Amino acid sequence: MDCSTSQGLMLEFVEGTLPANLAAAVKQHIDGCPRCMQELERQSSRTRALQKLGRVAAPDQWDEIHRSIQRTGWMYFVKRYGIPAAIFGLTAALIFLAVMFALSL
Amino acid sequence: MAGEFSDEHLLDEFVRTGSRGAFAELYYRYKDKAFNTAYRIVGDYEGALDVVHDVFLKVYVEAPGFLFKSSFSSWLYRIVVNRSLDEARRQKRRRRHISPDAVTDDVPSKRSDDSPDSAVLGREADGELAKAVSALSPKLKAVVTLRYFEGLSYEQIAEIINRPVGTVKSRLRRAHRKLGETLEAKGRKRGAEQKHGLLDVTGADA
Repeated sequence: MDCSTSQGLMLEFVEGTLPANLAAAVKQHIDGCPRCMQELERQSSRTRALQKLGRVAAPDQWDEIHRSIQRTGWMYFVKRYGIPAAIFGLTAALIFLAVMFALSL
Repeated sequence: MAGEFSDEHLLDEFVRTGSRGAFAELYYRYKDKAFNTAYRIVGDYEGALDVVHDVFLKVYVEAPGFLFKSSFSSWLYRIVVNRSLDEARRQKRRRRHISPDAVTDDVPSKRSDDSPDSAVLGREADGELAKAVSALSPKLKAVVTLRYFEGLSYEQIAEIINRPVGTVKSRLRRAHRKLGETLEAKGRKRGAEQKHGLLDVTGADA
């Protein structure tokens, strides 16, 4: 194995996702190559540092999301029951309102 | 009690019965993951809040069309990543529009010392690495975030970004190369500054 192949497989070697036979070949090359050994050390420490970078607790946006949901509830109805059902529902509501209006006269 | 149920069970319950409780449970399970992913990609606290808000609204509206072909988490991450990439593009355009001179690259917008962003960076063991990550392109930030901060497999990331596994690996390799270059350049700069400072002190003494 040459340096170019070894360094091309370095990511998976460091992350332990390389098949055993390939990992053994990479290790054999690295053991005898100071340049690839140095690259391995750099990439390993960078990967460990990346995995340790902090997380932050997200603020609670539920109330805001809930308000938006209430405003867009009709979209949920359209997605769930389809456009024809939504048109049917809207028409039925309009007819109902018209009848109620006519009866009140 | 809802914690006993799988994400898919809760989603199914929400779609069948319209249960707000089931939807709220999904929100509280995933709000931190969604926010952290968005924050890393967008690089801006307020922008990340907007992304999370829009994502859960989209989940609410699109849930009836979810076919359960992938896991709920993959679907959610896909929406988060796509919306975050849109937000990052929008912010980049806006920064260019407002002040073309102020734009240098993809580095997140400037923050005040007491902003939540600097609080996050301050808590991190390696602030320089965090800054180097934030200087990556949004697409590279997305794979780095999903892999190292969210701990997802190459296959899960490939499903989320809708690209082959090979693309995920090549983006991770590119990200590592860029991070290495950035950190090395910073190290060299710091070394030169220290050397310069030493010479100044020596010069002052002489």
